[in-house]
Amino acid sequence: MKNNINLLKANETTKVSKLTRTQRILRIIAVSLLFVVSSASMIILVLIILSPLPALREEEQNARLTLENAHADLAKLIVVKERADSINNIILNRKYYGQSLEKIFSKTAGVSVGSMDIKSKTISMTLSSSSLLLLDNFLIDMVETVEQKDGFTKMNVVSITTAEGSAEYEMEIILEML
Amino acid sequence: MRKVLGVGQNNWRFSFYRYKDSNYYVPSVIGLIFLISFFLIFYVIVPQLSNWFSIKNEAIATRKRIDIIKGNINFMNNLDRSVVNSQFDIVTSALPASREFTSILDVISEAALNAGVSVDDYSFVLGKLSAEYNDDIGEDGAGVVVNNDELLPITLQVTIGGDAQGTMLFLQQLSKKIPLSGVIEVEKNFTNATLDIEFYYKPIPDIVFEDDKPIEPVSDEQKRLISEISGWKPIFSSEDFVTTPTGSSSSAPLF
Repeated sequence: MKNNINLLKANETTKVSKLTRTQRILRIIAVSLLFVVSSASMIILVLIILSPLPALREEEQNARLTLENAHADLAKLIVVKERADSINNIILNRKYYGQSLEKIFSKTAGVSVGSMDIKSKTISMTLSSSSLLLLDNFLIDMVETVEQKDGFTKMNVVSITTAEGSAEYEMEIILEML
Repeated sequence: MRKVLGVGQNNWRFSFYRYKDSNYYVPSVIGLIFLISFFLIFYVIVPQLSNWFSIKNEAIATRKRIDIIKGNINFMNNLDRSVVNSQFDIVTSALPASREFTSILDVISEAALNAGVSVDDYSFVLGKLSAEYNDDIGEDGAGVVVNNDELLPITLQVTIGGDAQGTMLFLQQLSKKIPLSGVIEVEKNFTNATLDIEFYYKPIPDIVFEDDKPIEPVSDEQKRLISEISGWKPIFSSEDFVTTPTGSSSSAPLF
C-alpha cells in the first residue's frame, strides 16, 4: 500500500514502533518482578496459614489447666521457700546474747555476777569477788578476748569498789559486742 | 447491543487503540508494572513477612513456655507432698502467719524449764498491727534487721527468777526454739531478770502463680535450715504443763 492512496494523513505519533532491546529487557524484568512478588505473597500467606501457633496455644492452655491442679501444693512450696529465706535472715541477724554471756561466764572462776544490763551492743555488769587477784585474772582474760575480737570489741572498767565493812570487791564493766 | 466506537471518542478503549502502538505505550506499561510491584512489596509483602516473623517468634516463645510448663508439671508430679507438708508445718511454726500466743508461751515455758529458771511474770506488747512495719527494730543494733517489710513483731516482756547463769541458759535455750525470737534487752538484778523479747510473725502473702517460669525446688541450704530448726520445736505444748507451784514461794511456772 502506498502512502499517497491512504485517505488519512500519516501521523508520526501513532506509527507502529518496534521494541528496543532495553525495552525488552525492562519488560522481562517487570514481568519477572510481578511474578516474584505474587509468588512471594502467596508463599508467605501459605506459611501464615500453616503456622503451628494456634495448635501450640491450645497445647499451652491445656498444660496450664493441668498445672492448675497442683497449685495448692505449689503454694505450699512457695511459702516454704519464702519462709526459709526469712527465717535464715532472722537467724543471721538476731543478737545471741546467750553466747556472749557464755564467753564472759567461762572466765568468771571465783567471781560472781551481780547485776547485768544488756542493751543493743553493750553489756554492762557488776562482778564481785573476795579476791582482787581473781578479778584481775578475769580482766586479763577479757582483755585477751577483746584483743582477739572474739565477740567483743571494747571493754571499759567503770569502777572497782569495796563496800565498807565487807571483804567483797565489786567491779563494774561495760563490754561492747561485735 | 454492541457499542460503536467513534473516532475522537474519549474513553479508555479508544485510548488503548489510539496509543497501543505509540513509543510511550510500552515504557508506560513497564513503569506501571514496576509501580505495582513496588507497591505490593512495601504494602503487602513486607507487612506479611513481618507478620510471619512475629508469628514464628511467638510460636518459638509458646513452645518454650509449653516446655517450662510441662517441666513444672513433671516437677510437681514427682514432688513428695508429705515432705512439703512437713516443711510447711516447720516453717510456719518458726515464723507463724499470725500471732500465736500459745506457741510463744510454750517456748518461754520450755526454755525456762530447760534453763532451770522460773517465769515470774510476763506481758505482751503487740506492736504495729499492719504490714507497714519496716524492720526499724535494728536501728540501734538491737533485734533483727530483716530485709522484708512484712515481718511483724510481738514484744513480750518476761521476768525470770534465777541467777546470771540461769539467765544465760534461758537466752541460749530461747535462741534454739521456734517460733523464732530475738532478745532486745536484758536487765538483771540479783534475784531476777527482765527480758524484752520479740517474736516474729509474717502473714502469708498473696501468691501469684507464674506457670511459665520454672519452679525452683527448695535449695539444699534451705533444706538444711529447715532440718535444723525442726529440732527446735517445743516438745511440750501448753496442755502438757501442770499448774502446780514450784519450790519458790514468789514464783510459779507459767502454766
